[in-house]
Amino acid sequence: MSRLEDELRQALRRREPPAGFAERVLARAHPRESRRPSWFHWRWLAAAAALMVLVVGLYFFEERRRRLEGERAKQQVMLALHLTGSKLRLAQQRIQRFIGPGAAFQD
Amino acid sequence: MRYSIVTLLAAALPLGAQQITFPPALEKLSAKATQKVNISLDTSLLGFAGQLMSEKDPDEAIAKRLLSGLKAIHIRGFEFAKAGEYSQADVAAIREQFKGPGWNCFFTVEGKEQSTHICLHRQGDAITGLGLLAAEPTELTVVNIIGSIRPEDLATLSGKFGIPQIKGEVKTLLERKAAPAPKKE
Amino acid sequence: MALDQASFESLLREHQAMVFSLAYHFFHNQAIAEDVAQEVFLKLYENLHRLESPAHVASWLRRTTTHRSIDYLRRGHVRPEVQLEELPETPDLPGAADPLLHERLRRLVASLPQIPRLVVLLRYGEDLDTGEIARVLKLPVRTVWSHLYRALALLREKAARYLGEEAV
Repeated sequence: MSRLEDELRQALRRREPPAGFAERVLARAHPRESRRPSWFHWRWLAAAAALMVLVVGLYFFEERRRRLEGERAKQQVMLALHLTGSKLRLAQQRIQRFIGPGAAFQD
Repeated sequence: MRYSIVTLLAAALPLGAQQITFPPALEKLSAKATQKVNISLDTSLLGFAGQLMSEKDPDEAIAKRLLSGLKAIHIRGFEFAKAGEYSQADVAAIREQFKGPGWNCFFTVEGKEQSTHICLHRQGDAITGLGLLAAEPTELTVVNIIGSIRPEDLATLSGKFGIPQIKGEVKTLLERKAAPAPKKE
Repeated sequence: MALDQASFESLLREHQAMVFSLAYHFFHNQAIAEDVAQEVFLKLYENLHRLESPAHVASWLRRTTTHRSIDYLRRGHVRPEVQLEELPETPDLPGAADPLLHERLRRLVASLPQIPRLVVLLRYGEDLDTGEIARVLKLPVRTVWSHLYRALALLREKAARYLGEEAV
């Protein structure tokens, strides 16, 4: 190995930064932490976004389920009214048979 | 005198609401039935149904107005392949409930093979429930409607859903009941 | 082992000499070196989650320091490098034990063109082999060898007098 290379190694050896360098870096790093969220905060943001998507999805699912339930209930109401009406009509027909064909009935 | 079921229904004194209980014996008839209807609609489901009913459809508009005062509708209906699948004892428990406080069965027809009971429940001046028990050789139907049933609603139900039409004096009577009282000067 | 902000300070203290030295020898200017070194560590702070391990940090820091240094030059914050050929001849100084030799060498290195300068710094300052230098600078190994050879030749020529060597 040549003398030049030896001298270069010595000339270019590592040197410590000026005193307080680390503290100055840390001081600059911490304000940045509040300005720009760290990777840790981004994960929470992603988790919050995913949760919101889930909640919105569940809301729409629940709305659809309620609507289907309402439709089914509506059909059952109409069926109930028709069923009740048919039994009332049946009862009236029995009155007609009982009283006789001559009576004036509402129909 | 002219008779109609709805006439009697409309002329009956207002009664209070009452929910009947379907006995276990009745529920067991499902196993024998070739066709069955099981409707249980509480206040929230009736509310859902009412929200979805259209004012543009005549039948739905009437049903919607009726639903506004109702709290529940319960129906059990069974159709059997042959006669004798149920006994009078099966329906006795229902019939007995229609004799309870507040109930008035204004229409009853009982025969060897079939019977029909139409009853109203009242609280004060208000009609708060309707009960119907129709027992035929191969069919059994129990209807329990709970809630406020107004005379004007009965008038609008006339001729709808298979319900016999109200005419003449009874209709006039219902319209008078529904009309607001004249203001005193 | 995942790195996080809590381990940043220990990484800073462990590698501050390496980063600062690279920047210092590149610019031969303490103020600029501190500026660049701070920027490098702030970038480390923001990118810790992407680094796989402490060993990965060292190579990342070397790479980032070289790139930041070149960027700093391009932004015009530093006066253009003085060509080696333009450096004035210094008067003869007695003996091999020249107290200013190392300083003179540092100035000579700092006056090399950017890439040969970095090659020399990484070779003799960080003791990297040509393969490692090639990875840091993203150059073919053959190119690294070429830069190193020519830089040494130039430095030997300029410093021959102080080294007591024959100029090549």
